[in-house]
Amino acid sequence: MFADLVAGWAAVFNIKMILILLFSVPLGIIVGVLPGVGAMVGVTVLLPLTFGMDPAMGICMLVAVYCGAFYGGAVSAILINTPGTPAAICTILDGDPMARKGEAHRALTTAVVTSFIGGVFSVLVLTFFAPLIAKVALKFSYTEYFSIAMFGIIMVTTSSSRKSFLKGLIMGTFGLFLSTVGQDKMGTVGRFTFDILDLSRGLPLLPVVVGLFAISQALLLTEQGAKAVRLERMEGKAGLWEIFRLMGKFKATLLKSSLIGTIVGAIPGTGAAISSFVAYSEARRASKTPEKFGTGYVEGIVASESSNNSVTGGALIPVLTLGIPGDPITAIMLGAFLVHGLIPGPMLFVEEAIFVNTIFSTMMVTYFLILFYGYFGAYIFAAFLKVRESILVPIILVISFIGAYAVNSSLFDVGIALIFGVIAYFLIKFGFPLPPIVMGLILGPIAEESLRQSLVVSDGSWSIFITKPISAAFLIITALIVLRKIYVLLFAKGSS
Amino acid sequence: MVEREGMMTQSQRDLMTGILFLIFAIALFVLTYHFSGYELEEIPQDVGAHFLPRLLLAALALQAIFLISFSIRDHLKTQADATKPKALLQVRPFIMFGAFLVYVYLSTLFGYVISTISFMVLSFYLLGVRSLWPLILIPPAITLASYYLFGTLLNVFLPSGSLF
Repeated sequence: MFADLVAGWAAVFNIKMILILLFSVPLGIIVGVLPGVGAMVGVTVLLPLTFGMDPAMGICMLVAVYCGAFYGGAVSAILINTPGTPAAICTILDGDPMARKGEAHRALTTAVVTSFIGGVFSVLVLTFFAPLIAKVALKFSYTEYFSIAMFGIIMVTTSSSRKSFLKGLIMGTFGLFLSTVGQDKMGTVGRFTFDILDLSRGLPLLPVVVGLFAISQALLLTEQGAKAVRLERMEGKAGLWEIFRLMGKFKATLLKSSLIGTIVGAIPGTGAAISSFVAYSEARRASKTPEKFGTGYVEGIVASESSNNSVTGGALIPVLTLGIPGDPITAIMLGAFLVHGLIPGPMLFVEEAIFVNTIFSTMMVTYFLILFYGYFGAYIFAAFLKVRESILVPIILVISFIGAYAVNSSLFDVGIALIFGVIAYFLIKFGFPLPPIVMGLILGPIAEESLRQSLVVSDGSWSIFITKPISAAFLIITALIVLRKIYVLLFAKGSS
Repeated sequence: MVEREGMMTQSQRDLMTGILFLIFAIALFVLTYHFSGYELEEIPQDVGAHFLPRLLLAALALQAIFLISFSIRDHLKTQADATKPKALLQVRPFIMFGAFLVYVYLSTLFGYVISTISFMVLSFYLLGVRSLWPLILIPPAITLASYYLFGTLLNVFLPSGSLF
């Protein structure tokens, strides 16, 4: 294990990889800074950049963009009172008041330092716990995978659609259905292919994702038009060491928030916004001066930023160890793994141990680069807040076109992206959440294959799913969540 | 107060979406009886290729029925609300989408560079950019930079036109 870790670090320190990270970290921060773009659209749109790369470099680039975007969200939260990513929603509560009091630079420096600490903490947890979880997961059979896949889908369905469980459920079912399009994996049955050869391999994942998240977002930005942005001035300069020293005062909040972020990130269907809320509330509850929270208090930023950045390491745990993503961004990353011929799961830790450790070390280097860029490049990133939608929309559409086309050099794929772009545009306008579709699409094949193989193994007996303890535990939790939601849907007031 | 956006209230939208999903689920459920190909007959315990699509489409139909019934209930509850629905859905996204469709088609004729520059100039204009310099400078700069980055540096396939 230690040798793999060293080899992983060695792989990061080659000139090509360093150049890629130097380029992709600021790119990630920029997509995080731009409200309406964010980590999801950013990772989707930048995915085609990796197609021609060596798999390790391509994946590491996406990981760097992913981590960078989480910090980037804080810049817009502090300077224009709008979170660049949903994860930065709690950063606004104290970041914006600080900026209004003439302490914008101090708020940004606090954000970058705490993002760094939270991120590094989660990478350490990922590095040491992921191999242990993978070792346990090696013993999992199809039965456990089916139960975990169902758990993942239901968690995302219930958490991404708080306004209406029913709409989330419809989207999750729709996503699962989409995964059945194409030739049956255990036979030769063509399902919903309409004699179109391109559909026999199923719906292409990346064009669907590009349509759902990038094209639809571009259309929504087109509709919203240019908004007047009030950009706070970068006042109240604070030194990096001064803020690091200040963190000694908040070490308990830092540790607790980072732990909350990492744990919440590892639970499917939760994500950075939830971790941020939980950590912020906990910090306020535990504080001796809770009345200061929300008035431009440094500890508020400490809790929010350290927790939302520590989600990154936690969220990669289920993807890498089980091959099951916990949220839509890691689902897209899982798609990127597959495009590069890598199958995430416990076997990845056996067959590609150095590659896995390269991801860990890349994340660690990424957080050091975020600290560097975030502190010295704050003025430059703030300038991106002035980019208008009229410039942004055509760029997103052109890169979406490249992304959809480049996977198979196929205009059919572009057509798929266009269709799903329009569908997603209307679904968003009608109040339907999109993340459950991606989760269904990704987890559908895993769920179906696991279900069918389990039944073959058990001679057609469905009891196999409840006689195995891990499988039974996940299914019981899933069933309880669904039953509670159905109860609320049918009997609680205003539930629909 | 009921949320109103576009031409319809939220409950009307839910009703329409519910009906569309119901029709979609029923139509495709029927299609599952016309799958072509062969199942692995030597494994009788296997639930088969039809099982999951049918289960999911039946679930989707049921969920759509729930959505329809809830939207009717909400509509009846809020009938007294006198708020007028807002204006039509905006036209701009559809014009942009149309321009994007034309761009995709033209890229097969004229290749990536020419079609992308044309699309960007047109879409900048459609989105309200009227200054001459951004219209002249940004589209070719972004197109050539992306062509170099994707096509040359990263070996990503870009569409090549049949005419050029």
